[in-house]
Amino acid sequence: MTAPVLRPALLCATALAAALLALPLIGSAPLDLAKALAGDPVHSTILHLRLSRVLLAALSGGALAVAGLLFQALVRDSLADPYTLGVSSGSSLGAVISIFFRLEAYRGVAALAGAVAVLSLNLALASRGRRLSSLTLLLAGVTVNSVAIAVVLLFHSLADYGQSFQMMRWLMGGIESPDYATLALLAAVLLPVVGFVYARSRDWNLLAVGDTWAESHGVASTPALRNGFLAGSVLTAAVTCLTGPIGFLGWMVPHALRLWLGADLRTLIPSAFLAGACFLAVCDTVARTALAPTEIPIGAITAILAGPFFLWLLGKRSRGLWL
Amino acid sequence: MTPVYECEGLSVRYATTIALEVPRIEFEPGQLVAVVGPNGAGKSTLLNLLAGLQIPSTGRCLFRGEPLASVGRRRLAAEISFVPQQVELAFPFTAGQVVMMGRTPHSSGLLDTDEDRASAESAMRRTGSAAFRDRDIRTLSGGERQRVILASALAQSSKVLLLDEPTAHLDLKHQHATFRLLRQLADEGSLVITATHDLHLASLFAHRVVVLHRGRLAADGLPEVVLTPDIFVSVFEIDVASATRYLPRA
Repeated sequence: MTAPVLRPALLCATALAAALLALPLIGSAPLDLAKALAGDPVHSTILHLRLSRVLLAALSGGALAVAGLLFQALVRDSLADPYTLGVSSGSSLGAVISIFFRLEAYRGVAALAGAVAVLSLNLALASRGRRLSSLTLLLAGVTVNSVAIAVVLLFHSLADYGQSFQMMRWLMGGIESPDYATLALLAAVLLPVVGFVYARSRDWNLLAVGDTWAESHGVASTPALRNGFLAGSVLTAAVTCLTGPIGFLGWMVPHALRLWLGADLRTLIPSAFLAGACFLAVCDTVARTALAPTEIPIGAITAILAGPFFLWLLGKRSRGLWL
Repeated sequence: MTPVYECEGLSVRYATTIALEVPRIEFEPGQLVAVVGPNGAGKSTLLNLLAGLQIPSTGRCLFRGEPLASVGRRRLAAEISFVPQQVELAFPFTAGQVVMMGRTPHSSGLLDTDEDRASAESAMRRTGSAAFRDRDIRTLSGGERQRVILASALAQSSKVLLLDEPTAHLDLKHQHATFRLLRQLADEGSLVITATHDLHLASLFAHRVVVLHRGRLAADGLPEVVLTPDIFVSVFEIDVASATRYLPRA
């Protein structure tokens, strides 16, 4: 399985490298790269702002694509995404509550707390004694997700105009230029988890066939499901705290790659991380430049791309196969 | 000969229903054992218990002298292959990838080794599934898919094979080929236990037939001793005239 992993991963890595080099140069404000590299304060600041934003988009896109791939395998549903199991809604609930009570300074912490609360609730609901099953995990996740969204709507309806606007901006998702310390912290959380998910890709392959199949091939399904759910949730929560929910990427990238590379997660995971990173970095550049100086919410860009893709997938399903 | 399994006082209960109640049963290597009985007789439950996939309500099984419950999941998978009644795949795994999953208990890394590839290739050849290697398993017929699942179990290279109705979707030719292969594996020293509704194949190929009825052991022994008109009438509830066509011929 050496060549099938390397070739697509190399292609995706090349595309990502090109994106990371080119995208910081694109924007409404003029940027002279030579001046920026020579230390000109204006051009250097523009370059750093854009570069940190592109890096945040890349890290976030990679993490969401891997989380989507993982959740689809765990619940054996190709429509699952990082948000199906409610982690992002929990995060949104935390953020919305912090905005409602005028605690914006703690929005990131509140979003993280919301994600952890939902994560714990899901695991408690999905565990029957010492066993955890994919189906109960999915049902618990969907239910908690719906309840969290309902409470978000409740707070939104009680909020004043300014708070309402802030809440809407959060819920639409958006990428801003973070400082490099935040980026380093995010990378320190995300990259080991992505490494763990890749190292266990044989286990997820077996769980994608079935819990009994995994057990009969030597993988204890309950701890594997719990670890997978925790890993995917950490990826989703860490990104969502900084960017708000960014829809569609988490199922669209896995779908597109599965069409190209098949279902083996040993091949898909590295490519999903790199392709997701490249995709979101490009989407964010479109979001900040297409109608500059107005910024389009990045969630709108991913959704606009996802709609036609979903319709095309429906066409494929009607021909008998659902990827 | 040391038994592979020694089980005592086994029972599985769901609320007030008894799914299985077997006071004592043993299985030795080098045998093809057909577990037969009507629907709901406890065949799948027995296989699940022997595979360590289900915990009995009472009793215990020893696997090669050790309590089955204390044997680690990975070691069990290296020693026992389990073929479930049905496998529905949600994703486009190829037949070759599904067969290669059988190598998981023997793999330490992410990449397939030469030994993995050789073992998977041999398993596909033995089950006649090599031609489907690169096809999406969901596009295969039920019978073709069943042969791929069987190949995956063979690729596991274990000496114990537990199969839950492996011929359910197969045509006549492949039903016979499958039972011939199972018999061959048993003759090579493996313990093969298969649940089946096909009493004719059981009588043709099995060394031993275990008859379950309403969760209890109704008969256990050589096919020609066990498959009698009495059993057909009392367990399978068919008349004696119909039963004669299933009776083993000397």
